[in-house]
Order: sequence, then structure tokens, then C-alpha cells
Amino acid sequence: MAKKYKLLLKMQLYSLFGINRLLHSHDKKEKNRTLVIGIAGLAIIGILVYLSGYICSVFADAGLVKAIPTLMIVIYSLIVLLLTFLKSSGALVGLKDYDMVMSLPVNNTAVVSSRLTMLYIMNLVIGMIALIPAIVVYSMNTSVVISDFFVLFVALLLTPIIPMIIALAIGIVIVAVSSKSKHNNILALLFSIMGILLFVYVSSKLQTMDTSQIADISTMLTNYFNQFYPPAFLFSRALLYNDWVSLGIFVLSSFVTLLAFIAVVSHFYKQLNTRAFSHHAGKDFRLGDLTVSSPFMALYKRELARFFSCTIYALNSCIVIILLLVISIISVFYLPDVIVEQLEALGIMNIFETVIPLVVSVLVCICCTTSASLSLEGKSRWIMCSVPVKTITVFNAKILVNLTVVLPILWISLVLLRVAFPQTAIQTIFLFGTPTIYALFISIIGMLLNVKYPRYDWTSEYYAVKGGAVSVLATVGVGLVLSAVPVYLCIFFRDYAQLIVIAVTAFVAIITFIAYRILTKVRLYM
Amino acid sequence: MGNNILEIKHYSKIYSENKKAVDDLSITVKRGEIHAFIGHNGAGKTTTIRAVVGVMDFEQGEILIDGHSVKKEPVLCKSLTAYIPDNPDLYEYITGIQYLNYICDMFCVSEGERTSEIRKYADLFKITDSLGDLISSYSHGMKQKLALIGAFIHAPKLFVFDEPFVGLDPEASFNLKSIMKEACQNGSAIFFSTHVLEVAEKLCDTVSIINSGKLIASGNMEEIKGQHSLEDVFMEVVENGKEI
Repeated sequence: MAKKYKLLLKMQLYSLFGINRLLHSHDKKEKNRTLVIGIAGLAIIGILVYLSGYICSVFADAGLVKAIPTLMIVIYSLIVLLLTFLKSSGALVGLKDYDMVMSLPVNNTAVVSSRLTMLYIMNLVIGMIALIPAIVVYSMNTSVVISDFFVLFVALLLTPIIPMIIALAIGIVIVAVSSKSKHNNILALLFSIMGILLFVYVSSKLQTMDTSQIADISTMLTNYFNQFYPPAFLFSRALLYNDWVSLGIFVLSSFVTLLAFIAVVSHFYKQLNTRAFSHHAGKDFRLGDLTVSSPFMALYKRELARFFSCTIYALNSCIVIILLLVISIISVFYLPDVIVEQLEALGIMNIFETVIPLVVSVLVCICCTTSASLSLEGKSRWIMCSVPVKTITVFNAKILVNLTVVLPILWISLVLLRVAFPQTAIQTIFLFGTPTIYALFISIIGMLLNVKYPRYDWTSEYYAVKGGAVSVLATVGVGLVLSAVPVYLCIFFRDYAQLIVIAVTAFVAIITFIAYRILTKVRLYM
Repeated sequence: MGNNILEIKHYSKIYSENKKAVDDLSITVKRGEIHAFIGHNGAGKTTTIRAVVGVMDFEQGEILIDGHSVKKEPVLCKSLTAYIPDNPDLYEYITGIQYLNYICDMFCVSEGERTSEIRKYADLFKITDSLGDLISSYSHGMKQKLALIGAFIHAPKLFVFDEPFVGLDPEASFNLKSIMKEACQNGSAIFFSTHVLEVAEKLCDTVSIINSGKLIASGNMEEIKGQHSLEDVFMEVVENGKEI
């Protein structure tokens, strides 16, 4: 079994981080793209390591050194839990290559173990980001001995196991009891939005707390998790009191949970997959009257269906604009010590009314469905390419979906911001005009960049929307440069802030027009 | 317009490093004809088919559909054509009926006509009951049937199919052959690739054989095969490189 397990794992590792693609592709563009993605990935890891180190330093400064490892283990566990759950639907059960793998002369245990190992490796990378800075800060601020490093090392290796299995078990139960439908996607989208908003709320709250409040919350969280999450309690005891029995129980419980899970899932693997692959066949369909639409509206409706069918696509595209709405509502009803403090820290409080349009535009530029919309056509793109409509009509439908997602929420937010922050007539015109032009701009630039850098060969929608989607990264990059840089220009040249807003708006409008003209000349081929 | 529904004139497709995937290909398919396009794997069939339906650009030659240039009037040509690729990946996130309605909207099929045509073909292929289900729940054969219904409901002048019989059950294959003949009797033309030479021999009026990007035989089925089977002729011309 070990040999088969290694072979199965090796095949999966080929897909990890696109390394095999980089080594064996003869396509220069493909290689460059993989390199760019790799560098961007490393940069993101660097930022996360820095953030993790920074958070640990804050705790150390607050005199909470002892709480750092436990809290990091808790955070590590929660991240593993969340990320594994998001991937759980196709990670173990309902795999796309199920038939191919299961037709090989391998047993279920080897298949399940290889899949779990792959997930474990990815979670371990996250663990390194979360724990290594914590270990460094901890060891700099307290006297650590070799045995402490051993405990921390064991924690790094074993912590992902239990949360990973909890998340997978929940995912499997969902697959087992539910059928695939678009309502599930919408529910997942709503839950994800609520989760992210909660995270943002907690983060902003933490920024305005003093150290004693942070200490209270940290102690409360530590106690809470020690009480309700036994692995955290065992680990704390092992580290703080050199309690080797606790460490032994921690190690043993992780392995027992893992082996029990492998045994149970392997035993029911075929039944679970049969259930995942069998769909309810509706026998009640009766052909009635059909709604007639123009080709453009048909394209638009299908694009909207696509938007709601893919949680990660919808979430990626609309979370920031929802965040803008939430901030705008808060601005009207609470105002906002948090926001005022942030603005003062940035040094733009006294010109804020003037630069609001640009600040809002920064958020608008992060919301873009079009930058992934062409890639998401994937293997179905033959339909888009062979229907009798002009290419620009296809693009217009995709652009309109982004505007449908962004503009209504944007305009409501702008009305609320206008209420919260008094403005002159000219400021009000640009408050509405500038972000609207930016919304048009980012929709069209996103489309253009996706035409330039499409990625049709994805095996999961995740890769078209996030992992390695050059067009998505490039669109956000271009958008941020063209919206954030003018904000800084306004800060440096305060007296000309209004003029800068007007000039930038006009400039972006011109670029948008030119980009659209270029789009009208594009023809789509497979 | 003339009697020629599809005219491929000196079509060549060059990939990188001047490697010609298809070299100076000329084929004509007349109104009412079913034309088989055969060749081994990698011979250039799909490359040709993709150029005909306007989903792939090409550098040399000209392709006309009912007298209109695929290069100069792509949208008009597409409105006259129905295409099904060798592996019809459909939109998995919509239902079967939503897909068919989408195709009807695209090809501007009238309200009354679309309901009757969908009913006719969905009943024929026995998938009416499943039209309300998401396409992701369909088997390969059901997806193939749905794609075929999508092709027939807008009554195009030219049908272009890449391996249309793959994945179909015997009854569906029989029905497909019947509606192909019926469409041609109504004035359409069909240009399709297949590896099933017995089907091509029995069903088609004309045939073209392509080998390594070059046309080595083209014409009336009876004239091409003579007293032999199409399989014998195919093996002979491909193995000996002999042109007919």
C-alpha cells in the first residue's frame, strides 16, 4: 500500500504550485506566467509572515508573551478549519478524477491517505506562516530551552490534523445530505460575506483598543479555547509547565483522530462518492411557455447565472463593495471614531470631503467580475465563440454584470456618505461621478486584461478567479495604481486636491474610452 | 444564393514554426448533401471544422457559407450554422431548458417555434423529463443529446458536427441519422467528421479524406469507394498516400 500511496501522492504533488508546469511547459508565456504567480505568491507569504510577526510583537509589548503560542495555535487551527472547509467539497469526496483514480489497482485507504496528505502539506505551509514568527517573537521575549522548541515543533507539525479532519467531516456530511443546487452556493456566499464582515469588524475594533483591553480579550480567548478546544489546552500545558503527559496526549489524540478518520472514510468511500455523484432526476418537468430575450439579454442573464453559481467568483467580486456599504451605513449612524482615527493617522482628515471620491474609487477598483469572466468560460467557450453575435456584445454583457453588482450598492453608499460628510456642489458632483467612472473603467480594463491573459485550462474555478489568474491580479494592480496614487497626490498637494480629483477623473474617463475602443476591435477565438 | 452551402477554398492553417496543420484544402458541400470528413487522429479534421464555424482564425484561403465569407461576415455565417464540437462541454450551472432557451435567443427563434421544436427533439431523444435539471447532473450522452437539440432547433443551413455519434445510445444514433436526413431534405447541408466509417458509408452522399493536413480524396461516396468498402478505400489511400 505504501508504494501506491507514494505514487498517488506524487501525482498530486505535480499539481502543487504549478511547479511541474513550470518545468515541462514549452510555452514561454506559460512559464513566465507561472514565474510571476510564484513571485506574487512568495510576496504574499512575506507580507503574511510580517503581519503575523507584527501581531505577536503587539502581544509581547502588552506583556502577553505567554499567551502568544496558544493564541497562534488557536488562530492556526481556525485558519486551517476555515480553509479546509472551503476546499472540502471537492477535496476528498466528489473528486473530478474519482473514476480514473478508483479504476487503478489501489485500495481506498491509499487514495484517502494521499488526498489527506496533500491537504496536510498545504495546511502546513499556512502553519509555518502563522507559527514561525510567533516562535521567533516568543523566544526573543522569554527564556526558552531546547524542550520548548521541541514542543513548538511538534505543535507546528500536528496542529493542522484535528481542525482539518473536523472541516472535512463537516464537508462530507454536507455532501452526503445535500444535493448540488444554486441555493447552496448563495447560502455559502452569504455565510462567507458574514464571516468576512465579522473579521473586519473585529480587526477594526482591535485597532482602537488599548493594551489592557487587548489583554482582557486575549485572556478571555485563551481561557475560552483552553476550555472548549482540548488540543489548545494540552499544548498550553505542555509548553508552559513542561508537561510531557499533556504533549503525549496531544500527539496521540491527533494520530488517533487521523487514523480513525482514514479508517471510517476509507470504509465508506465508495458509498460517499456514489452519493456525491448521484443527482436527483426531476421527473416532473413540463415544457411550458419560454421567455424570449434579445441575444444581448440572453448573454447577460447567463452571465448573472454564472455569477451566482460560483461562490468564490461572487465573493471575490462583491465583498469589498459590500464592505463599502457597511462603512457608509456606519458613517451615517455612528460616526465613527474608528474612521476618524484612521483618517487622522493617514493625514487626510481636513481634505477628506474632497478625496472621498478617490478613496471610494480605490474600493471600486477591487471589485471586478470581468477580469475572470472570460477565463470562467473554460471548456464551454466554444458556445460563446460560435453564437452569432458580435464579440463586443459578449463583452458588453460581461461588463454589465460587473456594473449590476457594483453600481447600485455604490450609489446607495455614496448617498449615505453624502449625508455623513457635508459637501459643496462640485464635491457632490464628483462624489458620484468619479467612482462611477472608475466602475466603468475597472469593468472595461478587467475585460481587456482577461482577453489578453485568459486562462481556460483550469480544473477548478478557484484557479480562474484566484490562484494564478494573471488577469485578476493585473486588473487589481492597475486599478489600485490609478486610484490610490491620486489619493497620495492629494495628500502631498493639498491645495490642489480638488483639481487633482477633476483631472484624474477626466484622465480615467479617457483611458476607459480608449480601452473600450480596443475591445470593439477584438475577435474571440478558441 | 447558389447551390453551394459550404465552400472551403485553398484553406491552410499554419501553427508555429511554419508547420502546416492543414495544407491547401478545398471542399464543397451542396444543399441537401451529407458530407463525411474522415481522417486519422491529428489529420486536421478538427482544425478545419473550427475554421469553418469561425471559432478559429486562419491565414490562407477562403471559407464561404451560403456565399458569405467566414472572415468578412462572421456573425452572419454563424447565424447560418450549427456547430457541435467533439466533446460538447455545456454550461453546467444552468438547466437543460435554460440552455435551449439561451440558444433560441441567440439564434432569434420565435416564441411559438421554439416551444414546438424543443418539444419535438427533446421527446425524440427522450430527455424532456430532465430538461428542468442542472446540466451538471447529465450523463455524457444526455449532454450530447442536449447539444444536438440545440443545433436542430434553429434550423440552420449548415450543420457542422465533430464526431456527433460518440456517446449516443443506439436508439439516439438511429434518431440522429433520421433527423440529419430530414434536415437535408429540407435544404440544409451537413458536414461532419467521424471515425465510424460504416455510418459514413451508409449515411453520406459525399466524402472527403484528409491525411496529415492534405486532402487525398474528395467526391461522391459511390465514386470514391467504387466496389469496395469505405474502410478498404480509407486504408489504401492513407497507407499508400495515394490520391483519388
